[in-house]
Amino acid sequence: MSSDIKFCVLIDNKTILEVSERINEETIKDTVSKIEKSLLESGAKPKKIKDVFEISVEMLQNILNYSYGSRELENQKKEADGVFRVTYNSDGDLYTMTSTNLVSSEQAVVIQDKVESLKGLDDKEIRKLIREKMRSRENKHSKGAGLGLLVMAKKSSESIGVSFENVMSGIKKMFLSVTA
Amino acid sequence: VKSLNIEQSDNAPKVVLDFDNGLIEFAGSSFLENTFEFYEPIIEWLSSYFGGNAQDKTSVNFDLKYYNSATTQVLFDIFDLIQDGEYKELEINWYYDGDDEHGMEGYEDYADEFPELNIKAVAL
Repeated sequence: MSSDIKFCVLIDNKTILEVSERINEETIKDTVSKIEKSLLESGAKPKKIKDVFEISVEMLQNILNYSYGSRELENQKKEADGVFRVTYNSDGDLYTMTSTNLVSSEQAVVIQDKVESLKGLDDKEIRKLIREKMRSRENKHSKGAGLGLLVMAKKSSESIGVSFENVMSGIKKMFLSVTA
Repeated sequence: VKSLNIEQSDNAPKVVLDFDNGLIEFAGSSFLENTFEFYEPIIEWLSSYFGGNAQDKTSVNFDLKYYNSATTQVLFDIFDLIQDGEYKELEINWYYDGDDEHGMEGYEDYADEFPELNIKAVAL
């Protein structure tokens, strides 16, 4: 899959900004900075800006950390291929962040199960899970705390969406979407 | 304990660990790719400071704009370390955007989890 970050805020189907680059720490910084600038200029509320910014960071870092075939760079940093897109729906004032990247079939099962387990939980229940996870430090590894999906679910106004497409044996293409 | 200062960058916070004045500060954004690696020397410093070397008065200030989930865990670990540590007079301030009606969301999780630390929310 070719490397491709797309940041395109669509207002009434009009693309106002689009960025296409390889995903690494530098492009993540650049992309979320553009997202913040665009939302500030559009007059979005502080909470909306913070939620969209932080969900975007999580999704981009997930591509970096969990993509099948990501490359190791210097200083224990990574680079990966994937697609990231932000779209805006003026009806409801909602931003939808979508990411597409390759994952191993084993990883797909883990993610699918985690996303399913979050469906239908209210804010209080998600906060409780976050606090339990922080206390237990379960799934903590060198790049993350295993809290990414929970933090996104807390900020999301709808359930997290995930689907997979078979690419070849042992590898799937993952489509993840979060709306805030 | 020697003081330690880290300059702010686009995705790393400014960190002040001022031993002489008992001042500890985190300001800016924190969404580094290798978040835990960045905070390792900071956790080490805090372990030493709250391991019997705290000044008579300690002020800890958090003024973080954006942060990733790994930082959420690190902040929890810092509060946990302080709670289990040794200190005399302690003040912890959590600064948030006063224009944001939901600005205290991040604060509430830590304030509820560590009531003994009496973390104060301060609107900017």
